[in-house]
Amino acid sequence: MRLFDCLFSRLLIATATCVIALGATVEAAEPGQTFTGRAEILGRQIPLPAGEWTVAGRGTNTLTSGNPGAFGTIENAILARRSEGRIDALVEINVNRLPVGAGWGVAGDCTRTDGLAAVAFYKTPVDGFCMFVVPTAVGDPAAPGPAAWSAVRPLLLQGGAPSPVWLTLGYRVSDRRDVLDVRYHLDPRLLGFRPMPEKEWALEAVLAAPERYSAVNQLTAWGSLAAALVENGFRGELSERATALPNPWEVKPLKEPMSAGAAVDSIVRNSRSQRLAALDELVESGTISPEDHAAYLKAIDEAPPPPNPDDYYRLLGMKVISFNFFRVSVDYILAFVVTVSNLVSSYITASIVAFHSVAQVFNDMWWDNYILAQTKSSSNQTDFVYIGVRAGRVS
Amino acid sequence: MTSVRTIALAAAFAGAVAAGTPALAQTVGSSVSGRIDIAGKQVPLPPGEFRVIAVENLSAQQIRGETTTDRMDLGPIRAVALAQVADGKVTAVVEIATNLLPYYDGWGTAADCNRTDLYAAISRYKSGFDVSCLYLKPVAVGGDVGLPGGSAAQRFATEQKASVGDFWLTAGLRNADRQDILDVRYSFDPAVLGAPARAAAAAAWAPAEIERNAAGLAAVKDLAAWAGRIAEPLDIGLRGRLESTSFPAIAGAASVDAAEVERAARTDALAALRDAGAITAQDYDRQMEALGGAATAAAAAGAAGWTYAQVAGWKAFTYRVIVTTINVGIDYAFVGRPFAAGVLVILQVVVNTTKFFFHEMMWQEVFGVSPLQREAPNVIEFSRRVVTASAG
Repeated sequence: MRLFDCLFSRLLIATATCVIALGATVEAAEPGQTFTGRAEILGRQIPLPAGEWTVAGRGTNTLTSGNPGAFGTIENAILARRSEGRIDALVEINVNRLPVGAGWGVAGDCTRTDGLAAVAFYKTPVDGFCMFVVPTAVGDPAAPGPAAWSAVRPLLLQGGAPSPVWLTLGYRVSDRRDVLDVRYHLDPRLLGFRPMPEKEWALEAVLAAPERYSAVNQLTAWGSLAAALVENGFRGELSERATALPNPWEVKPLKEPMSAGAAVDSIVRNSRSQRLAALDELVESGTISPEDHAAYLKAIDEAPPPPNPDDYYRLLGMKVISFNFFRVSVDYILAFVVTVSNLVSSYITASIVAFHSVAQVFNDMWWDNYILAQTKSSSNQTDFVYIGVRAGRVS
Repeated sequence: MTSVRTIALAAAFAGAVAAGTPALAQTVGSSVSGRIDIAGKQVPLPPGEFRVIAVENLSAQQIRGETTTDRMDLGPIRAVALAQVADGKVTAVVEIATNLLPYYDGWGTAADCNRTDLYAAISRYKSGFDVSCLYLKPVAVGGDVGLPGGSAAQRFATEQKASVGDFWLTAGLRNADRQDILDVRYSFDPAVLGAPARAAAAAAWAPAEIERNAAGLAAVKDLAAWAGRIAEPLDIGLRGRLESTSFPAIAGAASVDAAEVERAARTDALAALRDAGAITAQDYDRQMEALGGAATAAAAAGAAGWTYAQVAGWKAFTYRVIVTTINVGIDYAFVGRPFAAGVLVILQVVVNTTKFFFHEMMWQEVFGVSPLQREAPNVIEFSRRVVTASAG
């Protein structure tokens, strides 16, 4: 089999090397172009809040961290929306031109501990989807940014001085090949806040201010629901029928509270309700028979819900309790076998439990720190130049 | 602050929801060439014109060891078969299966991708949530082994007044991500690859014997090389972004260095970006370096991405060393006799290590591995077991 070994090792190299696949070659989002509902860049669709959005800046971007491989360029577009003569919102988009082979990693803003919110919808070494809310110094006259930002910054000054700090709701969605980083920058005046310095939007300040806390919560809730559309758009599957997103402040609370989970379930492409709706469409179109429909419906109904971190931690807690019960019993029995003394066996067991617990904590901490250092050194985080973000993330 | 406030946004977002299933336009008898679109995904086809010979719905099954479990919760699977006739003979059959409903937790690999008794089974990448693999195998029709394309292929041959061989070479490719799956099996009569064969002489084509069959080996090599080059377009097609309709020919595929072709293509793309001023010369050099070290990059990612099992193994080892040292002190302090304390320490080491193992086994048996920890994909196959033979 030597010939075959040779052949397939060559084949393996060939398949491990990324083939050129420019994907969608549609060069959308040129400066001056306007969009409503959604924008598209290199095959990825970005849902837009209500209003007309103009491509105010377009260029390529650079990486500030990470080494995902040969990605060609990061295409960057900045869309602006005007209201009453001034820009009140920006959408900053970054996508890769060439696919890579081993994933992109998370955005630094998804792992910040001082951000206003961060939600990881899923995360593996090869794909991930997260959302975050952070304040960004968009209105700072010296705010840095990608190349396209130089064309947009003067526009911000039209109609008066902009708020120094804007609220940014961002998403990072990536798979093994491609990445989409989209950030919705909103002037806080839209949410009824006067321009405030950066420190007023720091986490501690927001936690101490009920109105700002509420605004951030509302923005996070809006973002959680828009997330499904962002992910669909990343996959190029945003429906032609998709209409513009409502603005975060335009939605009203329900009289009867509905869980965010239930709300998300109503719109995510692969959520239970959307899968059932798609199943209904299949039977209505005659693709599957009513009998098939009933059988699949029953199976989906009876399938366990998707796993979530709460289930995981609940199970982990039970496992710890179970193991400790097991451990104490075994240690006591072993000690009794040797000492034939209840008292000494109890002392030994109690000492073992106490010392081992401490040892376990330190052992875990050491390994967690070691793995964390490995992860950081291998740049499992990839970032680009963003509007208003200086090196080391100072918004 | 990460908790999401309960707000009635669903209604407001309803209008923005992506809904609907992709058009399912394939009908039996239609002709296609280049590529075929099925349920929003695109599948590259070998050169020449193909006829759609079957469109039906299958259902998924999960295989774990010897156990096969119906997975109808994965929804209906669209299966389309195509065939090609040349010189009065059915020369190629393409069988495609893809999901009609997206799933939320990844699909899984094909059973053939895990086999070791084929010409080859190659994993391009594999995680708990995505997979890309390919395999090559001989198919000698008879007994439990059916004709590629099944009765539809036989019917098509009769309609076309074409003969159909009883020995085939199949290149299977399975690509799946978190939501979607594409399973494609390209089967060819070896005669079109320059090595006619019949099932009666299948022994000469067995994977263990193929190197002694020069013509057969050349045919298998060509098919292997072609499948390797078609895997990437299929990966793009899974994501619905395949634009090309022209793919490499099978004949002579093995004489082309696929790695070099692909490297050249990417080099051209990077050079074009550099010449257009989209990337600097330094960026170009850096990315060319990364291109040369694609395997290295993957290896680096793997080194950084410790598996759960590796971490658990090292943690358990260091923990055992630490607690054994502690036990020596505790046991001697309370027992006071070196020999008895030593016996107790040895008992603790042996029993506690075994205890951990059995406790883990018990949890695995009762609760299984949490899907959040899953590292290897499921094994998913498709069958006609369900329900009625509905076809669109």
